Amino acid sequence: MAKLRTSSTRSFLIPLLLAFIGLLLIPVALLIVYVWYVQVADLNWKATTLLLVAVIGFFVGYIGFLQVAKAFRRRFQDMIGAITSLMKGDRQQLKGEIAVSYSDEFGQLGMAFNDLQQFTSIKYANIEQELQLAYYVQQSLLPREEYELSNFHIAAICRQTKDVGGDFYDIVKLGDHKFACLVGDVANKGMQAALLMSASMSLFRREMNLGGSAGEILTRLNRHLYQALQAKIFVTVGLAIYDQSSSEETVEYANAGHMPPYLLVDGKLTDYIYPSMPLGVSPDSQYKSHKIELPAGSRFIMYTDGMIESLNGDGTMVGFEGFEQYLLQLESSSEPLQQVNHLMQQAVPTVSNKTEDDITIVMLKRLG
Amino acid sequence: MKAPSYMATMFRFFVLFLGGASLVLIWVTLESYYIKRLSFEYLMKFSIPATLVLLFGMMLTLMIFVALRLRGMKVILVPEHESEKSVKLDRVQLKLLLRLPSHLFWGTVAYGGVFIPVYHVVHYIVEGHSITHVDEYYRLNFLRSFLYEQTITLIAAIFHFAVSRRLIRPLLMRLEYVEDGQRQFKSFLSMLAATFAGLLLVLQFSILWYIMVTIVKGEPFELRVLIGLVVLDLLFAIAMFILLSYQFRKELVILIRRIRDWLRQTDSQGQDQWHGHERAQNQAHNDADAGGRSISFLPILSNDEVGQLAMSFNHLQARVSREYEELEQELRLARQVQEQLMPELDHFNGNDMIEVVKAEESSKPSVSNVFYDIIPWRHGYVAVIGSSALVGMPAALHISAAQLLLRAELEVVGEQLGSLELAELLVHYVERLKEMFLHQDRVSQISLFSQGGEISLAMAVVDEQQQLLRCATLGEHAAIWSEAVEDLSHSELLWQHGEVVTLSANNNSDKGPMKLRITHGLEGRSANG
Repeated sequence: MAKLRTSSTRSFLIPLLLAFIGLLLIPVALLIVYVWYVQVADLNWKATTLLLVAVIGFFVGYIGFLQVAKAFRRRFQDMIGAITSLMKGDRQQLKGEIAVSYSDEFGQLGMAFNDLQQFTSIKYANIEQELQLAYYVQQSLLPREEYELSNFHIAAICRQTKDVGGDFYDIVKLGDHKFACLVGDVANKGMQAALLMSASMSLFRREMNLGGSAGEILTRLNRHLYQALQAKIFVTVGLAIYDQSSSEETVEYANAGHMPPYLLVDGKLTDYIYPSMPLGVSPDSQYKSHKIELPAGSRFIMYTDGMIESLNGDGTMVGFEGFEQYLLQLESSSEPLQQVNHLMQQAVPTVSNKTEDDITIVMLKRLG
Repeated sequence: MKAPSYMATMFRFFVLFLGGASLVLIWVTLESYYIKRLSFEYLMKFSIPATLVLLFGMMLTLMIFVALRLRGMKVILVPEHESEKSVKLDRVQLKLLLRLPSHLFWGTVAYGGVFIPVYHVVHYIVEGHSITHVDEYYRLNFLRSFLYEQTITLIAAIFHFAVSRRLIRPLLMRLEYVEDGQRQFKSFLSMLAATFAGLLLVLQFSILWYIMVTIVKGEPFELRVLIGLVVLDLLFAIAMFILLSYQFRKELVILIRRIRDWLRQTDSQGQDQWHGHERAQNQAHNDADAGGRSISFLPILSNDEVGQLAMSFNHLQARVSREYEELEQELRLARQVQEQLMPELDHFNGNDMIEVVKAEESSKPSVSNVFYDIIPWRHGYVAVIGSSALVGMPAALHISAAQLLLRAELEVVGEQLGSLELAELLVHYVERLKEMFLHQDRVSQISLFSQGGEISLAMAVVDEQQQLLRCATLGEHAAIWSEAVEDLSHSELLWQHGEVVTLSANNNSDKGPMKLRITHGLEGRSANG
């Protein structure tokens, strides 16, 4: 542990007391000087003048002392403010240190506080390192955010509410003119969801390599996940496969209990609702493939429920209607990555970038 | 700090009020004697006895008030030998206790405000004057007395405030921390300002009354007497201010000492065995094992900025504690998910080829970097143990993917398992696993495998029809041990590390039962340890 820091003791009492005595003496001295003057000059007492001198002296002393007392109070307020600002931050900032500007008891208290913060940092260093590495491992599983595959421009973004989470997306190139795009969400958040996220992704990549339609892939994926999860935890997935060789204008889509995707064509929005069971719930679930037409310039949007459940600035839920509004407000000419970033900013407007639930958005924009 | 008993506390408050009353009595007597130039005999006729009655009334009123206030708080007022443990006080009671000094302050001021005028009216009547015709001198004297004596009462009130703050401190020090984000604090600024104003007024009034008395009585003005009065008042003012401000200092020092003591205590607990970071981590585990509080909370000693500072500090500590408790809870849940991915071992008990022995789990909240699986196939079972070279959550992410992928791979292999070369199967599987994790387009350049995420595997295929056991291992941490030929003392060493899973399969080999054992953290050790 870090060596405990100490400072030379210069108590705040001494300057405070000196200020007190000084400010007490000013009005008294004023009165005594006036009394002495009246005596020396052999003048008559004037009650009003005497009272005026006393009142002026009182206010001079009182206002002066009030300023001293406020400066004294500011020391407390500075420290309280510094601690409170630490609490506004994330877990890392909670263990931050505060500035020590004084060499009296306030300085000592600040240093003691910082020693304690340092102790806390050391105490939890292992778990922090582990979580950071887990974050990198999870991030390394996700593909990059932007692709140009076949005649599509694809952009994706995934933001976890905790260090690691259960949302994921994958973009797998299956040839020069074929690719698959997956968005998934493991029920629950944090570490437990992350464990199944990595398992689901590895199984998905395996099943993609084995081939088949989108529905067949999800059916196989479900069987593996059900064996492992026994319906205790489930995973929702939306899978789109594009194969230019079979159809230039359609994408094959299969859904496993996931949020309905949207198609945005010329300012018109269509949602595709395919009721289905999430993966891992039933061993016999069969998933169907659906053909969705994607005309040139259209945008196909897949996302997780975190987007719908995110909160507006006024604390109300964004909901489907809100999300649809966000989609309709998007600049169709801008890059898909800019568009998904814009959507994410709508959902996570706060500085801390923290959300209630993980959020993932993937946009497929068909080029001309 | 030990808390006094109820009676001891009441006695201390009695002494406080006696002190406050004495202060008032001495001050007004000296004022009457030196400034008003009244004789002691004259004062004894009415002033001193009447003041004594008034002050006795004040003491009695304040004592009754304190007794009623503390009556509901007897839980914190136990004899000293029983007062070592922390106790809880509900929000309302705590608020009342914290406000006791300021209530005593206002109680003293209010008492003076009511009874000082009564005293003067009675005194006036006792001296035979008519209440309907008050002459100019007495009217002025009433005003002077009222202002001056109210100021003296104000000083007594400050005295009560400062000392009662000290008296309730041992009680507050005993209280357990209770998170209360709704608590409202008041600034000490008004109290400091009132103290200054009160003491300054005493000084100014002393000078003014002395001058007034000399004028009214036509006595000579003596600068020597005036300076003496000022010096006396000043000394008194300094003493009062030190008494009050010292309480602030003392409370700050208590906060500093509480943190320092906690840090020293935690530091010395592991001094002999641990150093640096390890010591802090060891302490964290000790705290968790003991189920005790692993952080230092500060007592709320007042209802002003000192208390607010302690409260902010406590909120921060509580938040840090909560954050890591949540993380630990998450780790426990993640561990449950891991357990769920493993097969239920009860299925294999009673099987004549497989016996499953699982190491005891650590009580600390952590996830495992090891997995085991027993997968039925047509002629028997495939038993696998896998281990990631990583630890904690990164390893858990790794092995959960590895385990589910292995099941899927073995499902494809299916029937061919009996004829496949197991080592080749393992190599093929790990290559597939790497393909999954080494995604060509991954965002981060940090690869699981470049972080030491290599996986070690031990696999045994049990063919119940042919009574055959075939084994293969891959990776630095995988090992197959046979109890018949290996030194068993080595096993003890392995078990110390917790993450040891042993699967044994009985066969007809002359080497006896074979054991598959995966180890972690014993790199470079030879078979005999």
